Amino acid sequence: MDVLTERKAVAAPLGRAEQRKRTNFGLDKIMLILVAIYFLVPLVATLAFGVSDGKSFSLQALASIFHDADFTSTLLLSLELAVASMLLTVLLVTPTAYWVQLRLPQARVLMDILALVPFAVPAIVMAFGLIEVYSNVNPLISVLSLGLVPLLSNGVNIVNTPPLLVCAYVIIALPFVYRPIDNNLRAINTRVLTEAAASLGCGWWRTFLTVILPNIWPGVISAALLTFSTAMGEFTLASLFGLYTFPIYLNGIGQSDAHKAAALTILSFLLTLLCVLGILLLTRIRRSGSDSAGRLELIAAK
Amino acid sequence: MHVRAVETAAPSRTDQRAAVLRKTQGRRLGYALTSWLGFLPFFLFCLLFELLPAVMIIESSFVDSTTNTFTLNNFGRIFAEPDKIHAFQNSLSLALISAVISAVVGFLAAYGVYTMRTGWLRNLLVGFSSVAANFAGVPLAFAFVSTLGVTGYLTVMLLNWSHVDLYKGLNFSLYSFWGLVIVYCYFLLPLMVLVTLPALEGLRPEWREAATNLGASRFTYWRKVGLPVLLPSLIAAAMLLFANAFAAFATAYALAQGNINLVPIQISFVVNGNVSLDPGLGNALSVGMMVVLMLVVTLYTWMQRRVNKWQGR
Amino acid sequence: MQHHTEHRMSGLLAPHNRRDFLKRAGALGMSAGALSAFLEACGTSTTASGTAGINMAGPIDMSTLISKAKAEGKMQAIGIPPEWADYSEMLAGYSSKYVSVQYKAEAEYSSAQEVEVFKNSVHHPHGDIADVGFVWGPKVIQQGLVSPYKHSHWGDVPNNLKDPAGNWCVEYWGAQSFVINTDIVKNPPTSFAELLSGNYKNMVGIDGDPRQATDALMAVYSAALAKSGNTTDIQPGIDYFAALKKNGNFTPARASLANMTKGEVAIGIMWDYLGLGFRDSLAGKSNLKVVIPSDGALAGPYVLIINKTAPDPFAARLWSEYLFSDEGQLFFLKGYAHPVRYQALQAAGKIPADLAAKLPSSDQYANVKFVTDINELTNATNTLNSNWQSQVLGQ
Repeated sequence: MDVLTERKAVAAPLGRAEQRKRTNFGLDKIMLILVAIYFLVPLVATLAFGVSDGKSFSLQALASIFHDADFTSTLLLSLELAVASMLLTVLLVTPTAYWVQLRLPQARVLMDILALVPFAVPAIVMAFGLIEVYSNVNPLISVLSLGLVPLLSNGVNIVNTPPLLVCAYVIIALPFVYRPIDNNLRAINTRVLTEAAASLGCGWWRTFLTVILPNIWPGVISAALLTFSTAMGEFTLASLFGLYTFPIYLNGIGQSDAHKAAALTILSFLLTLLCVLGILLLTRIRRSGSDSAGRLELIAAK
Repeated sequence: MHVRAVETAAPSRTDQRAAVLRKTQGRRLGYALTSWLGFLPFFLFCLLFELLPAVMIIESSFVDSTTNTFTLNNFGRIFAEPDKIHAFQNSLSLALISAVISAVVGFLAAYGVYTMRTGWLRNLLVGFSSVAANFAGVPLAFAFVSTLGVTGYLTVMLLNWSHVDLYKGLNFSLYSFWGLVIVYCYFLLPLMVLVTLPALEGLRPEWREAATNLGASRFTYWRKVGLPVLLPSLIAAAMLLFANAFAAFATAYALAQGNINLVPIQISFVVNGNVSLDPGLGNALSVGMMVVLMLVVTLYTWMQRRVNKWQGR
Repeated sequence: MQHHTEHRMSGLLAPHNRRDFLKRAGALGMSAGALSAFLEACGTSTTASGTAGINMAGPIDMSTLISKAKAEGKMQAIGIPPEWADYSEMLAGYSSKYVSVQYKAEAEYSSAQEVEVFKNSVHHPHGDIADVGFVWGPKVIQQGLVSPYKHSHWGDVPNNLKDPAGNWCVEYWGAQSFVINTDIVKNPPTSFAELLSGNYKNMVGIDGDPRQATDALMAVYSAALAKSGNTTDIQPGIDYFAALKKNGNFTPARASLANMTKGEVAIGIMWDYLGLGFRDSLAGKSNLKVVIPSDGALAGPYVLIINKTAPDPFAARLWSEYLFSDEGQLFFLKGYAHPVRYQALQAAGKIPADLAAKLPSSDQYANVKFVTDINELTNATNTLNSNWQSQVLGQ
């Protein structure tokens, strides 16, 4: 019953009270409220600590943050790293996932493995591994990488640079990126859509950009959001690469001023949330057609 | 020339077929090659930044740190020293318990978000989930210390208002195994929500309608239709949560240092500390983690394949 | 084509120019802000300005040092946290007088991480100096990661606090102390014995895990000294903390600034200079009191090491000179740490009376001992690594 009514296009959104009057106030909504409380309480506690100075309410910690030059510089660096990681991930993984789905089913197992290896190697270990590979010359590695590692390490010198960090972030986020996109590709009938587009004269890229991409948009967005917030909050790799990003700044403040650190934590949470919501909004505006129209497309394609 | 023309007058049927076959084989080979070529950029990227570091770690785990010679001693130490074995046991049980709790609660919460009608609230929750999923480490540890620590706001409130003493009376401690489970759920739950939401969109409303039409209750619908369909995604999500919890380190360390014996913390003691330096042992422990996670991954792929077979994909 | 290969070759042989980076970074669409950040982070190595005729191991006169350092243009400090023993003023002083210091990204590095930086610096020079725990001196010599330098005040440093060849030198030391939140604790303890027998439920914390943090290791070792009267074995210290945990006084929470501010840890056992720094920063909000335990406390020296493959060798040596100069040593004192040249400075009457008054009285330091025997320290570390988990933490 509840799913039926939800699926109909309704004029005005209902308020929370009206929702409760309906019979569909089941276990899921109770759980959602409990979960919401569980999430908000520690944040509120941190905020309370951040706007106090031990005895009373004080915005001094917050004010000192805005006067700190490191705050803006590290935040900007983190934002740039996050955006770069997000774009690189989507650009690299989405066409490959589509390609594998369509033309290379034999490689699917390989893709699955590649997308799950980052889980097997925790961040701290990956960081040391990357540093070792690119800092010290190792004949085995040089051979295995077909000469690319020495080239990158000595020729282009990407050791301890933001580009290497961006690549590392892409790898860390890979499991979270591949899974939603792959799920989405499987959910829609990719082969039929592609063949239909081909029969109408679309080339590979045009099919991908105008037919497939709009259909897997939820998966791509999910992947992009997760990469963005991973990169914004990642500490271990950035620290070991010696790059002064926002989480490192936050950690440093924590060593010298606890109230300021608490206020900064809440601030960074809100800022990241705003960025994520911004991305969500931008993509909703971009999408033409409502959810239901998109759904009809898929059913027809089946 | 005249002679040649006579000799090559009319190719036989078999020759023709052979020629066509060669051409299609050539084309098939060309097709396969270009297919793999399309995969190459991604593969190279993974090779350079994912596979080679892993190879490096495996190689270094066989090296003794002080003498720089080949040794199996690093692995021997893992099995010989009881605290290393306990570390693996603790890590496994912590990851398993947190993953299961987060999976169940997260699924229910995801369904709650999915059936939400207020669009802006739904977007806010999705956004909040993606930020909370990465809110781990020192900030999270301190947030919980502020809430449930010995002098945490919640602890003090409970003491003053309902005379419930968490620490002395109920013997609760945030710095214990169960305290860590509570903290881990904070970043595992949102991950579950985010990964499950796209899967929930795969549930056709027509199935629900059909089931109701045939007289199924909500419970029956979920038991016979909903959950079986969602099972592959739920398994995948649970594995994701497990692996995430198993590899997590910053939060546990920030909260209670080594009070809870976990493998990533043991690794950090020997590669990242101020007291000892033993990269060989650290790499061996990492290889141990890789082995455990690879087993989990194999289990997951096997389960996925079985469920997919059932679903006829 | 040839220009391209030249680029590659020059990359292998000599440092890159900014244009190179700009081109590549431009391809990645990075803004100028991030560019300058990563240009700094790259630590482009300058070819070592001629060291001919200069004894890089012995004291170099200040004018040469300053001019060469200024030519190098920067100094990369690894593991120098500004909130530690007034390093913030040291860094500011050095930067304003000589060249700028890049320290922020690696400020909170542990000693192992700092040594890793030196290790990885062989092919890509990065990191000039580092501040590591006492046990790391011999380790880095053994691994061939450091180059020696005897600063101009070498004679003022006691022999057991420096490497004879000049590879490392103690800069400052602190003693283990009790940092007590007097708002919460009404009967402050003055010794380890009192701490164990008194009612301090869930109050006593150390600064991290002793298998990871030197500060925590020395707390356990000091307990051993208090119980047994000598430093031959750390086991009495492990037993002490097992007993402390058993009677409920011990809390696993770290005695960090955040936790002490919150009161989560009411009695922290940590370096006196850290505790005194906390006391000052929390003045008026929380009241902290620092006492040196009367039945035994160990001193923890930290040493300066210079990277063998330092990108800025002269700037590194200039830092060494600055650190051990009167000005530098007095900064340590201002940060409540004991500068290694304390005796010499005191004899020369260079210590301002008001500064000396801010430290706890010298009779509290009467029982402070140094452990400079590397074998004793190694044995202690091994014993602790084997026994801490099972005997104290109980898993």
